[in-house]
Amino acid sequence: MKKLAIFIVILMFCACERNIIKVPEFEAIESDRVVLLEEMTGVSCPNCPKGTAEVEAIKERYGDLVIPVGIHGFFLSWPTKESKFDFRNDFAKQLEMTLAPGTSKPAALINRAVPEGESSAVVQSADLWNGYVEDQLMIPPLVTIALDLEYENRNLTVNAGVVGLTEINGAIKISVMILENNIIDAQEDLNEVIEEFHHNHVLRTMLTPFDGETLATSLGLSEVVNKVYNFTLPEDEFLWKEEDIEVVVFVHKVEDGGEVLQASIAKLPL
Amino acid sequence: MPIQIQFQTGINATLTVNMSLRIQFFLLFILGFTTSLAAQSPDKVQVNGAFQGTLNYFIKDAKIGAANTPQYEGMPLGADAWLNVNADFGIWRGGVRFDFFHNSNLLNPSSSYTDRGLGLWYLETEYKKLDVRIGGIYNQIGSGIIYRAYEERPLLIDNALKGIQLAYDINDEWKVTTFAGKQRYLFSSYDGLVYGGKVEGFMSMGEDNPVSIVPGIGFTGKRLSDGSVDKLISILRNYTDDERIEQFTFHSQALSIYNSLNYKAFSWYFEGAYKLPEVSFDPNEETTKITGVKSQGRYLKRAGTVFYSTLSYAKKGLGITLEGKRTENFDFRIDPTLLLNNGLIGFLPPMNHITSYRLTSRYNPATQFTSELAFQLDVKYKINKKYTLNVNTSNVNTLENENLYREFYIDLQYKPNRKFDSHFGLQRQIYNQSVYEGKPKNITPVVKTWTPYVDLLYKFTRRNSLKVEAQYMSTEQDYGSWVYLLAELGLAPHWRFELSGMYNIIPNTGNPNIPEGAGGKILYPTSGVYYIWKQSRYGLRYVKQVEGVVCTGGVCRLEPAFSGFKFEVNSLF
Repeated sequence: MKKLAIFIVILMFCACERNIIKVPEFEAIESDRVVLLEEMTGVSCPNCPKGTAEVEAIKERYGDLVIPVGIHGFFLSWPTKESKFDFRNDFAKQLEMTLAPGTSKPAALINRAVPEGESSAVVQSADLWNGYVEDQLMIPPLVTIALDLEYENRNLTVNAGVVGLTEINGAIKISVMILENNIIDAQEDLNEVIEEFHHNHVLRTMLTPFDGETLATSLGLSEVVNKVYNFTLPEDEFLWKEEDIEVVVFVHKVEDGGEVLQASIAKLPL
Repeated sequence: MPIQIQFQTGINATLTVNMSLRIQFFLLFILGFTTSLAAQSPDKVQVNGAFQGTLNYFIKDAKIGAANTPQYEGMPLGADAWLNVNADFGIWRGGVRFDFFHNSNLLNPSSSYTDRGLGLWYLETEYKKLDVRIGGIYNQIGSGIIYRAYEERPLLIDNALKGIQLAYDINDEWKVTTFAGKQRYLFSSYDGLVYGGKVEGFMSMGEDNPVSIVPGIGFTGKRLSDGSVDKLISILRNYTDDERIEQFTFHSQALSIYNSLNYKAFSWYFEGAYKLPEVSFDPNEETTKITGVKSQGRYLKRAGTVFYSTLSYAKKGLGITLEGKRTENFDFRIDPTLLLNNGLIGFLPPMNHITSYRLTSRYNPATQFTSELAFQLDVKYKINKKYTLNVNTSNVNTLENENLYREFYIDLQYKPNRKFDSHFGLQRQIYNQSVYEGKPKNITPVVKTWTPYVDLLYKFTRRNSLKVEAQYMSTEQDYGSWVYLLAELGLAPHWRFELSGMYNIIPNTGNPNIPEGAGGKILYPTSGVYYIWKQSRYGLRYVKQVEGVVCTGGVCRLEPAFSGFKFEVNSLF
C-alpha cells in the first residue's frame, strides 16, 4: 500500500512538470527554393475563405518564394446560385481525385510532401500551412528552373529549362499550369455568400497531363533539359484576361508521392 | 495509381510489415498462451470472440448527392471488419482484435481508407488487490468529461490508451486507478503522452432508509509531443502582436470531482471539471492575419470548465430525470491542432433525447466544446397496465444565450396485450443548422420541424410478427418535408425482412445548401433481409440514404448521401 502511494505521488509529481515553451518571433527566411502550395478549395465551401486568408498571409510573409494554386476540383466546388463562373475543369478534378480524394476543405499540399509527423501530404488545418511552407523553404532545391515566356496575339509559348543542382536518380516530371487572378465572383462563407469575392491563383488549365510529363529518367549535376509548350488563350468577355494570367512550372518526382523539387512562376510579357 | 494512394500505400506498407510482425507475435502469444493453459487445465480456459463486418457496394447517384467521392468514382467496393478474440484463464485475461478496412468511408465519409492489421491487444491479471492491464485500455473518469477511452465503430472512433493501467482495491469501499500511455489512432498512436488517475469510493449511511454516496476524484494530464509543440509554435509565431501567445507548456492537466448520492427514490449525480490554462482552438473566435483580413478560428490560452448534473426520481410507474450541463472552453485533445473527432481525451455527454426513429433522429445537436448551456427533462409515467407516457424536452444554448437546439417530445405507448404493442408520438425540433453543420448563416435558417409518428407491432404467433412505422416530418427548411414508411416482417428464429422508403414529399427546392443536382421529390428506398443462425446475424440491404448528421453515443458528424448495397455480418463465438 505504501509503495503504491509513493508511486502515485511520483506520478503526480511528474505530471506537474510544466516545461515552459516560449514562442519565438517570426524571422524572415532566405531560400533558393520556391514552394508550391496546392489548395483544394471550392466556391460552395463555407470554410474556404479561411484557407484563402491563410494563403494570402503566407504570400505576404514569403512573397515569390511561394506559389499558391487554387484547385477547384469537385467537392464543394460546384457554383453557388449567385455564381457567374464555374471554375471547375478536368485538370482540377483529376488533381483533387488523385492528390486529395475525399478531403474536407480547405486543404493543401505543400510541395506534395508529407510533413514530418503527418501521415498524409494533405494538410487539412489551414493554420498549419505556414509552418510546413517554412519547413520546405529550409530544404535546398535539387534543380533550378529557368522560365521564359513569349506572348503575342493571345498565343503563348512557354520555354522551360531545368538544370540539375545535384545528381538525381529516378525519373522526374514537369507540370505546367495556367492560373488566373483577380476574378470577382461568388464564394460561400460561414456567414453568407460573398457575391464579390476576390479569387486569385485559380487553376484554369494545364499544358501537360494533370500528373505531369516525364522530363528525364534521371538528371546529372548541371545537366539541362529544355521543354517548350504552346497555348492560345481563349477569347472570353470576362475571363482569360491576359494581365491576370500566370504560368507555373514545377518539377516533381515520380516516386515519393510526386514530391515537388522546385517551382517557378511568371506573368505574361505584355 | 493516384498519388495520394501512393503515399498511403507507402506508409501502409511499412505499417503492414510492422503489424505483421506484431500480429505474428501476438497470434503466437495468444495461441501459445491458450494452448498451454488448455493443455494444463482444458476445462478452465475460456476463449470467446466476435466478428463484425460490412461490405459496401457503392452505386453512384448524383441525383441524391451520392457522387464525387472515391467510392462513387471508380472504387465501388468497400469493406470494414473487426475480429475480436479473447481468452480467460484464472487470473489471466488477454485478447487481440484484428481490423480490416478496404476503401472504407468510415474514417472520412468523403474519402477512402484502406489498411489492415492488429487493431488492439491487451493482457490483464490481478495480484492480491492489484489489477494490472497492459496494451489497449478502455476506461473513463466520472462521466468521461476529462478522460474517456472508448470505441464507436460507426464513426471509426477508437481512442483506447495503449499503455498500462493499475487498479488497486484499498478496501471494499475504495479503489484507486492510475494509467499512462499513448492514445491510439488507427493502427498507430499519437506521440503525446496521456496519464491520470482516479480514486472512487462507496459509502452508505443509515439502515432503514440508507443514504449512499459514490464519490470520486480524478485527474488527467497530457504531455505534448515534440511534433505538436513544433506545430503550435509555427501557428502562434504568425499571430499578430495583439493576439500573440508568448508561451505555453508541454504539460496540461484537468481535474474532476464527482459524486452520486442515492436516497430512497432519488439519485443525484454531480460532476465539476476544471482544465488548467492551455492552448486550444476556438472555432468561434476570429484571428487577424498580417494582411489585415479576419479569419475564422483562433488558438487561445485559457482555462476550461464543465459542470454536469443529473437528478432523477424513480418509483413504480414514474421516472423523472432532470439533466444539466455547462461547458466553457473544454476542447481537450492530445494535440491542440487536431480537428473534428481526432485526439479527444474527454467526452462531453450529449443533452438531447436519443431516439431510434428515422425522422425524429434526423437532426442531432452535437456537443459543443467551447460554449454550451444545456438542460433536459425526461418524464416516464405508466398510466395503467396498457398505457405508458414519455415526455421529454431539451434546450441547448451557447453561454452567450444564442439558442442552438430545442426539442419537445411526447410518446404514448399502448400495449393492450402481449400480441400488440404500439407507440404514438410527436416531436418538435428547433435546430441551428448553420452552427451544427457549418453552413453559411445567412442562407441557412434555423430548422423547425413537427414530426408525428406511429409505430405498430403485431405478433401473429410467438414467432411471426409485423412491425409498421409511419413518420412525417413537416419543415420548410433544409430539404423540406419528409414522409417515411417502414414495414418489417419477422419470421423467428431465422428471418427478418424490411422495406422502407423516405420520400421528400414537399422539397425545399430553393435551398442553396443542397448539393448540386440533388433535391426535388426523391424517394430514398431501403430494402433488406436478415438471417439469424445460432449466434450470427447476416444482413443484405439495398440502401439509399439522404445526407445528414450521424450521431453515435453523442458524437456526431455530417455524412454525405449513400447509395448502394450493404452486406453485414455480426457473429459471436
